[in-house]
Amino acid sequence: MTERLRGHGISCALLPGWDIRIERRAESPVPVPGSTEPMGGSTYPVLHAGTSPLPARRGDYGSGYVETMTPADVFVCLSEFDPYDGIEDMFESGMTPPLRANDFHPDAQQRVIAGMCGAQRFFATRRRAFGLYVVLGSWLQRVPLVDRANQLLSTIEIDLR
Amino acid sequence: MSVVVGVLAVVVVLLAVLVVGLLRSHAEILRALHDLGVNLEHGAPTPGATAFELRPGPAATDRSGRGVAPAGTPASERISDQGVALPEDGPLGSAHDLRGVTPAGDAAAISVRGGRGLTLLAFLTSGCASCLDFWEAFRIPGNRAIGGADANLVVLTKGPADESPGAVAELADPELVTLMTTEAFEDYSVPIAPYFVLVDSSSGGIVGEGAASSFDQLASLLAKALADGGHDPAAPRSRREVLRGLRRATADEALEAAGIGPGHPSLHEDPHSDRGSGS
Repeated sequence: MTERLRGHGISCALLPGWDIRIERRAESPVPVPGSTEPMGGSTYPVLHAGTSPLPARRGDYGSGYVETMTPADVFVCLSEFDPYDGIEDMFESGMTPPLRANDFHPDAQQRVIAGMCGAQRFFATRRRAFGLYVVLGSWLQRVPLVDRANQLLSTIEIDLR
Repeated sequence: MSVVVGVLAVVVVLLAVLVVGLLRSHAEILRALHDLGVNLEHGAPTPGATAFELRPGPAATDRSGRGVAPAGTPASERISDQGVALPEDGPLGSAHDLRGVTPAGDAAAISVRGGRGLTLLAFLTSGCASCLDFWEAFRIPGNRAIGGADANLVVLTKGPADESPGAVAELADPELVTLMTTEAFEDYSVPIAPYFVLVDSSSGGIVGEGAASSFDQLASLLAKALADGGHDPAAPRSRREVLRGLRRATADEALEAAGIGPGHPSLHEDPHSDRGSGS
């Protein structure tokens, strides 16, 4: 049985060759005046997974890592949003289906890096809203790389909020 | 007779001068070796701190007397008289992937098998005096490339049940990959911190392990071990390798100076076409 990594109500299988973090950034201890909301807003969990070593410091959408990716690498980012965002039309209902090679495009990267490509989806499940962002290290090799991304994505489980 | 006695006296004096010179030279050599951390005196304790070494393969070599515990020694007993961890004699095993939490309490999994290059695992604690030297050293970005330019460094402490996350967070630089996992200490049979394990991620095997009492000593031992194992990029290269490297650098620099980089259209033209000949 494959071991799993769990954190903040998200889990995924520990597949060989993947570095994975399930993190939640610290919220400001200072509240917005007249509110209980923390200064700077609430933070939500994010899962980062890469097929090469993830640096300790990364941007929410993988900056700091994606620049180091080789054509053989894959980066998966699952970011949680405010649950009320999930009722918007932008978020599909239910767990997102497997990605296809046609979902990827070089212009779909947060910051375009030559030769690479990305894909983004939004979905709501288990009363939680998520954005899925996947970067492939090679546009030309996207067919085998998307299979690798799907191997990890198929193991992700979300707990009910 | 007096002439013979005089000649003998001169010979004796000359021999005495020669012996004194040899003794002095010997003393200077011993002093230099001592400065380098080598003690050749009979009965001198084996310096466990110099135990880090690369082992070439499954065939174990005899390292008795070089700071290595006999095969089969439990991890808890692999500690030298100086309180330094000793690696176990015998063939090196396979690496284990890592799972634990960050000092901030977030879940993390780090794969050290099936990747590329080398990964240096540094097993530290927040309390041991010699570990402080490594925590300090790893705050400097350049020091994190101690295993080579392409090597990854992962600092490991015991899990939150055995170690204070707050103390670790205070010591660990935010840019240092730090994982709290007691499981890793058990997987790698770490006797006592500080302890270091070098993993070849492409083969998934451990290529070296041992202890060092300071960052400078680790750097020195690791550099020698990497060079011996053929992993050091600065290791002497053959004349052909040197010439090929120079040639590649020169060609790349010339192309770059001409504004031709990767993906430039001119690189994809048919060199035999007559396009642009003007005819």
